[in-house]
Amino acid sequence: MKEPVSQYLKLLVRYLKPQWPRVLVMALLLSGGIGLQLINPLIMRFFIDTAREGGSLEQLIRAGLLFISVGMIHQTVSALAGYVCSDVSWRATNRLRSDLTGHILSLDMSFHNKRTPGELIERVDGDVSRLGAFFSDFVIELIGGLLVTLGVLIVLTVEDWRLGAMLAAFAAVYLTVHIRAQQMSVSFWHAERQAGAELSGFLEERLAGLRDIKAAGGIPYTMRRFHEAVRRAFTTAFKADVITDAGWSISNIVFAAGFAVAMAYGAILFGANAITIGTVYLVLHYLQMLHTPLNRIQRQVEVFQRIRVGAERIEELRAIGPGIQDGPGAILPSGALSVECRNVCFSYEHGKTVLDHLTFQLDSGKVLGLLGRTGCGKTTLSRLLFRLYDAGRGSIFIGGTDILKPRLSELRRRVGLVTQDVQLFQSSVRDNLTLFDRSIQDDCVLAGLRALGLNVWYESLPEGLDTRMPPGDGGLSAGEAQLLAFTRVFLRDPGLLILDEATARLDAVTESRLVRAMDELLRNRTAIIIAHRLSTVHRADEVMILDEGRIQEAGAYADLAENPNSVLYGLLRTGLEGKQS
Amino acid sequence: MISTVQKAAGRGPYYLALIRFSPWLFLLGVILSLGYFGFPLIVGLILREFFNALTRDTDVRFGISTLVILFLATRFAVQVAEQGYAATYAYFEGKLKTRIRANLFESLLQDAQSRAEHGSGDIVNRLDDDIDGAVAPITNSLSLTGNALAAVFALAVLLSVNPYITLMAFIPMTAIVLLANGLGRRIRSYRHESRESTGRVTGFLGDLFAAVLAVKAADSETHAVLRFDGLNEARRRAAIRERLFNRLLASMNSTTINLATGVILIFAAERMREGDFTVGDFALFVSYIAMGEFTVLAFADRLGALLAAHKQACVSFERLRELLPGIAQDTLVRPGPAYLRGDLPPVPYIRKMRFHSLRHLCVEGLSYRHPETRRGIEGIDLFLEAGTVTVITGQIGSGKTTLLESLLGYLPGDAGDIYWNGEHVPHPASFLVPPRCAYTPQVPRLFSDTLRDNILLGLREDRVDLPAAIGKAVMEDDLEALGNGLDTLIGPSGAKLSGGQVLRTAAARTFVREPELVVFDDLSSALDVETERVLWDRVFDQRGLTATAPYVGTYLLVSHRRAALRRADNIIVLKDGRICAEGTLDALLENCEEMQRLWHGDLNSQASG
Repeated sequence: MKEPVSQYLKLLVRYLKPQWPRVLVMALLLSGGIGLQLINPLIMRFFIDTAREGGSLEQLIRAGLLFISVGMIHQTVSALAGYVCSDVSWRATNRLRSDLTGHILSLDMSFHNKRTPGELIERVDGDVSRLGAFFSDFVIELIGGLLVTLGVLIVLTVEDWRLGAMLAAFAAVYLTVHIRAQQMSVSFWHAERQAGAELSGFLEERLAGLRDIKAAGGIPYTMRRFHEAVRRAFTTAFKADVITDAGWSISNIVFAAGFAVAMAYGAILFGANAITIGTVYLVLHYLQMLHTPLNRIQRQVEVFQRIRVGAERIEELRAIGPGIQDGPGAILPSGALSVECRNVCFSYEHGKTVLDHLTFQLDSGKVLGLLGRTGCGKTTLSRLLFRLYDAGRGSIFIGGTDILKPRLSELRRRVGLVTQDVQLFQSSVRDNLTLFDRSIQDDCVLAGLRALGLNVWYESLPEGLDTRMPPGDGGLSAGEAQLLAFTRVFLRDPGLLILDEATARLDAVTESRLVRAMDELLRNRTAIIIAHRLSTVHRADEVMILDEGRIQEAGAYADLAENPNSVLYGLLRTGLEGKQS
Repeated sequence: MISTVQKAAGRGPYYLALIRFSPWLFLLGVILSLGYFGFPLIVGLILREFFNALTRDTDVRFGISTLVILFLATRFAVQVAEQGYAATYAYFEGKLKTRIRANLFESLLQDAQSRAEHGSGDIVNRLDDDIDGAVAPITNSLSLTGNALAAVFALAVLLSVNPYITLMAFIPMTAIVLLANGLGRRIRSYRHESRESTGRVTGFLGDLFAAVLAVKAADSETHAVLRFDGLNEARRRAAIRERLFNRLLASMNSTTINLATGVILIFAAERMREGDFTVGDFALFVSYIAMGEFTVLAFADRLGALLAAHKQACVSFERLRELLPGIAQDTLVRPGPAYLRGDLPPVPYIRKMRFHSLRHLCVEGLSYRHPETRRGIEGIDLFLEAGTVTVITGQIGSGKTTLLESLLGYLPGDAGDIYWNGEHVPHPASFLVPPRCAYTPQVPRLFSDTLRDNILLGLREDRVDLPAAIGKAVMEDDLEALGNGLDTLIGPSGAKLSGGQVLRTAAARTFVREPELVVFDDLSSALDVETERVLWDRVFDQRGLTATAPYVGTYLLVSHRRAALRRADNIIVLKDGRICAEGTLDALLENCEEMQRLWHGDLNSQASG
């Protein structure tokens, strides 16, 4: 318990420090608000006592006006305190969100392959938002609540130490009972969440399989299971509700008992002429005033338990470092880049060798067709070229430079990748083309669109580059989506281009329409085309066929295609995947 | 029932139907709300007596100790009333929601049409939030009576003590309530804005993490984070603006109480000095004013909220009906047990009877076009003789699956007629179900249950031949591999099974029903050639050999695998949504070019790509 709390505090301090003036303003407003809150009951007491002692009417009316003004100022100050507090909280958590996102993006693909986007969103936004909400509530409710209680205690002690002692004892007893009473229902709520999640899961699964159920005549059975799940969800929720209410009842009755004691004690002190009738009223009023803050303290204590988990998870995430180290900063030559692999070996974490002493060379400006069955290592090889993974052994040279030498950013700027999945952002068309790089001018973007034949599509956009991409497939046909991905790389002007099954999703007719765009894209560039449809590699100068991480065959496309003894020749006759099934 | 629904004119005429689900609970809730709202008012009266007893300004009716005990007793009664009210409310609400949910869910199951525009997550959401919204006006109105009576009582007490001060105190309160209502509207737009900006932030993160490969490959990490910062900043502004207004609105209540108390102080000053207005009266006023939030003003709030809830309910109700465009309102609010206690609904067993048996199935001119792609099937005629095997084949996109789905009623066929033993079938979706017909889709869905439950789906094990079905589906090796055999829990949507196991389980689910007409969509996506061959060998070699009855079955399959094609009595070759050839395998291989291409594996290379 101790460790994560200090972790949470450390996290808090790191992100609060840069905005200390705002934090200071927040603290001042908060304590000012609480001070003001304590004044009004005192005015009431003054009023009651003065009226009963026959004080002047003017005095009394002035007290009434003062009461209203103090109340107004108090409301304003606490609204401002809340405002500043949530501002501080949002600024701090936004900083944290930004840092976390940058951190996550810097992590290796092996990290990303194990996690769904949903899971990462939950880390970056879910956990952080809970932290943020907790911070602002923590300040306002827990610290504020404690300060009010303390303030009342001080005022009453000054008044009569016995009253102060009574109130202190009462606050302690009430908080203890209340915390216990609220804990009664914790396990019931846990069961309720469980049953609720089960019901949602049940419904979601069944809704996705409506046809299966109907086709198998399973409707009555499914309805029975539905009622079973609903009953479990309802019963657990109902129990949790009733137990929670019972907890509140216990707290409220204890509070009422405290109030009754204060009534009796006040009556005794008043009878002994130790306090005035105004003070009796003051004590009861203060007591009533403490009800809400005391309850809030309890709630925050409970939330605090839950928030630790989020803070822990964030720290865990921050502790993961990228495995790929940045290079020292060599510069790659401009123009088309040659590729050379020397004895490259690679295996993923599980240990199976994916690339086995691979050696080959591709001259600049040439197009290589890379073929092979699923799992032969084609895609892995392409990922090594721009260091999404590092080779276990051997070296790779691009443009004659060892790829460990240039900065990652330099390398990735010069090596472009197009895959069959075109990921779209629900953002402007411009952002989707430039991937948020603001240094790319609109003129360049438009020229790119024209060069690759997307200008017709562009002209259909109502707001040009500012048009928001519609959700889903962005209103693009598969061919257009692929052209958009081509444009993305085209704008970056890479010297080496990798097309990883880029057209696998397209049918042959659509693919043939992309020929012109491909010509444009490949002009003056080295390219590696990974494909499993043979028509796609017709344009290759050279062909390499991989099998279980080794080169099965390599050579000029024209030579191999005409040599009846070559693997390529056989493939061209029978179809690439025909053999597998 | 129906007549009541129709009689209640205007919007939301289903409210009456909802109350009728459980009228006694509704009444009990109304009665308990009286105590829930009424008892706290007694506390104010006790406080008044307490202070009056201390100052002896009026005749002392009770001793201090009596008052203290009365105070405690009243507080206790408040808690009892509150608990009872809350429990009744929850039970009543649970009953209403469950019934509507059950009605809607059952209708969705019956309909089973494709609902691509609503993901299942969206539907679950609507089944939750929108049903909440649809019943809210009724559940909200439970408290209305108690609240109204309490408000009248509180006002009457205050007026009897001092009408002048009462009026003076309520004028600023009313003004502020009106102001708060105006603010409330403002807040809704701020909340909307803040939700939108949150949606943009999480949406962006989702896109970003999904596209991490592209982002890393393009070295766009920094640019992306900058964009993210921009979205975050917009969200911060929207969120704190919402928060500020929320706080202002929340502080309206305290402001009201503060203002009203101040007004009492000012107007009571002279009377208090002269002894007309006692400290007890003052305590009563302040306590009722503070509680005014709870009674008088809350009543106005509640009425307003009820109107808002009514509007919201109309929206929610429409959103529910959107899920099933054809559904009648009566269907949604159809009364029936909620099964929250006692026996669960029974699962009837439908024995296969003589009238279920199939002699021949005839399809004439079946057509359907997908509205988005404009692709589909056109003028399909089929004739299936009992006991035969018909295989539909064709290239990807030739309309095979569309044909099956139109035939079975999962797609609203544009044209065409189906005849079962010569009799017209107007609603295939409800007619072509077990024991007449069962169907295995191309991508079957399983459920988070045991393997046994997934296969049986409610059939009693002693009425069917489960081992035979498992055998036909080539599952015996899987059962061994799964450890717990048929009792293995297969995880959400069958996540613990391989694709092939999922498909074989679904096949067993179809076989165990021994339907007259067996329909299979393409199995090849998840079964390798060898397994599929064994499956068809077993199915067709063991026909008529089952233990329960001389069961043969008529088969309609989509396939391009040789094992299935060889078994076919009749093959139908589809091309671009039309039948391009039909006949035995030998005849088609002889004279159908499309069939020759399909047979020689051109198709295979595409299908596995």
